[in-house]
Amino acid sequence: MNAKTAEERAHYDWMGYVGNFIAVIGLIPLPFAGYNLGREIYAFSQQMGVTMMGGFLSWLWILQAMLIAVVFLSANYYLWIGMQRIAGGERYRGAIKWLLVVLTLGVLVWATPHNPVVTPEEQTLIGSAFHPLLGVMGVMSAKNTAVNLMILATFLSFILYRRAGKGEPIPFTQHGISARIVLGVIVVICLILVGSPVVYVIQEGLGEPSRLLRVALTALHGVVIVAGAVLAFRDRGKLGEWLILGSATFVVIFFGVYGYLVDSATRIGFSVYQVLAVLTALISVTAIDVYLYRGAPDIGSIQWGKMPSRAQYILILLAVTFTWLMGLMGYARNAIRQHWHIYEIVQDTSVDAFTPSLGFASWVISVCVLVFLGLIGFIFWLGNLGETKEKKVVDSVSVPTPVSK
Amino acid sequence: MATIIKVSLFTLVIVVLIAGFASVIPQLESPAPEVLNISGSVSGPELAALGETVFESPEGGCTACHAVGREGLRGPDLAGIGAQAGTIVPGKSAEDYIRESIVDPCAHITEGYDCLMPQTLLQTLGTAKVTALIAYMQSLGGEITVELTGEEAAAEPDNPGVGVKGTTAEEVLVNAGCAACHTVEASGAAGLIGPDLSTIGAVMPPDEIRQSILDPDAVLAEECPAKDENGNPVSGPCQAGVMPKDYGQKLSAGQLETLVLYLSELK
Repeated sequence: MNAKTAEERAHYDWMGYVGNFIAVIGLIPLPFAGYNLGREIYAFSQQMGVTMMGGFLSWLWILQAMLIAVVFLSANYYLWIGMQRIAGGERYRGAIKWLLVVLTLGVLVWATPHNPVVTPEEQTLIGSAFHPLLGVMGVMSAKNTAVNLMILATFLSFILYRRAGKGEPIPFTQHGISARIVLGVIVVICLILVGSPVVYVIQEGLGEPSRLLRVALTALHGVVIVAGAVLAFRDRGKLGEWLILGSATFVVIFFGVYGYLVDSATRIGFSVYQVLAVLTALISVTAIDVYLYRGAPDIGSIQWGKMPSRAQYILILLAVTFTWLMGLMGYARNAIRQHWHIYEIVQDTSVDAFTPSLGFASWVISVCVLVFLGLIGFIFWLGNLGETKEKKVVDSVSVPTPVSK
Repeated sequence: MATIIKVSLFTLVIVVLIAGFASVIPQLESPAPEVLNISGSVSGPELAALGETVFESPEGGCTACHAVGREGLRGPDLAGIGAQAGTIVPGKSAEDYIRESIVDPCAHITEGYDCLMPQTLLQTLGTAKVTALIAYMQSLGGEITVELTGEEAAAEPDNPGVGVKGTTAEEVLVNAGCAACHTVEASGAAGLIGPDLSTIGAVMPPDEIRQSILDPDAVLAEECPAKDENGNPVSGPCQAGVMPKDYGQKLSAGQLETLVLYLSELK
């Protein structure tokens, strides 16, 4: 935004792109990690899970969901704007509105609490502890489905961005045997990943329908990944990619809907299969896509430096939101301490045990975020200072000065 | 310069918007629970009133899930429980049923609900408050039969929220019952059931000592005192399931760490 020359603009545009790329790569596993941690806590003690999610900290998780929604939407928006500066990107513009629909619906579901945080009077007015419609959207089945579809949508945005300036993919056969070996190894890794929880299910028996379905859908997804790779070997890689993404979507939606028909303990376990289907789809599709478009003809290279200013503001929004989220999670970790004494639910009743309200904590977090970003800004300013000096020295050396006689 | 000001203002606006939103939603503070002290003999409506105070206090935490006269957030409506309690399990009195439901909540799960209730209420609240809670539950449509004697009230731990008295390692060793089973020469403990801890710090790091207290069967010591056929002292392998597994609930964080530090220094 402050760049003065086209070269500087191109450089910082590239930096922004790389920064966003790293942020998206870092963002995608975060919901997985969060849900897996939640699953572990509930598996260890449901009481601890309820204390964490449904008590004093209820509103915190709503705020967290909203901030993550901002992060998801911003990261995608940046990619969509970025496609405008790539000739050929207009081919994928039609897909953006559908991705936005998926992301928006996902955000709405994700931010819906299971139990509305209400007073007893408000609860009496509702007539139940659960809202008749929103209560259905608040359970793990809906939330896991929403977040996994949001991850798939974000991944798709990234894939479309990569393809924006590329022509038709080159045949896989041109990459030689090494590409086949690499893709084969990645497929095997995906199969091990997706199949690992099924081993335990088979060992414990397939008596219940839910167990049988877990094995069947995992096997189906594994077969689709292999089929996707085989299609890629036969120069039909794009079809293979869509099949794998379709299979992951099917697994996510199936377990999301089926989760309503089983008990809560089984339902929570489905998240593992949803996550692994998505994770293996991301890994295998990325691997196929890299080879498909390696060496593919450019129909319009990225015009570095043509990114509009609003995209830079999105990057700042991302940085601020990420940092604020980290502060919020620090508060969550400390706040729950009062209720998770030692390793079970034993309240800390010592005289100094006090946790401030979310509002108070949010201002403390805000000050920390501003100080942190201020320090980062200071470091950049210092770095830039040296660079400017160096540039001046180079300029003074390279420009011949008139010799006075 | 103008760009820097614009970016700074933009950052400030984002932060203020987020913090502003966080400040306008309902605010909940989590203060240190006010600890109710019950002393002397109490019975009848007076005990039930104390029980109601415990029920509604953050210390008890009951209203996080239960309600009276309407469905609770996660637990059943308790209206009329005093009348129903004696009829739910054949042969079990209302007092016993309610006590069991508080102390061991997963023993009786009301249909349509999960086992979510903490199983540590006896440790965190103590006998007097649990007895008061039983009286309050009985008062909800039933007859109050439970009584709190002066001895029961006096037997409460002096550190609310934990089940073991004492702050020094030596006190905890005795009050938590460690000395009854373990030998610790430095403290004079001479128990002959569990392994000798006199030089435990030389063979176990603090993390493993902590684990052995919280989860005793995770790693079993190889040598425990035993007796041969003639009654002579020998040593044999330690058995699983002998040491209680509830020290995580009984000890306060401070007591646990004091104990771990003390034992780790025995070399």
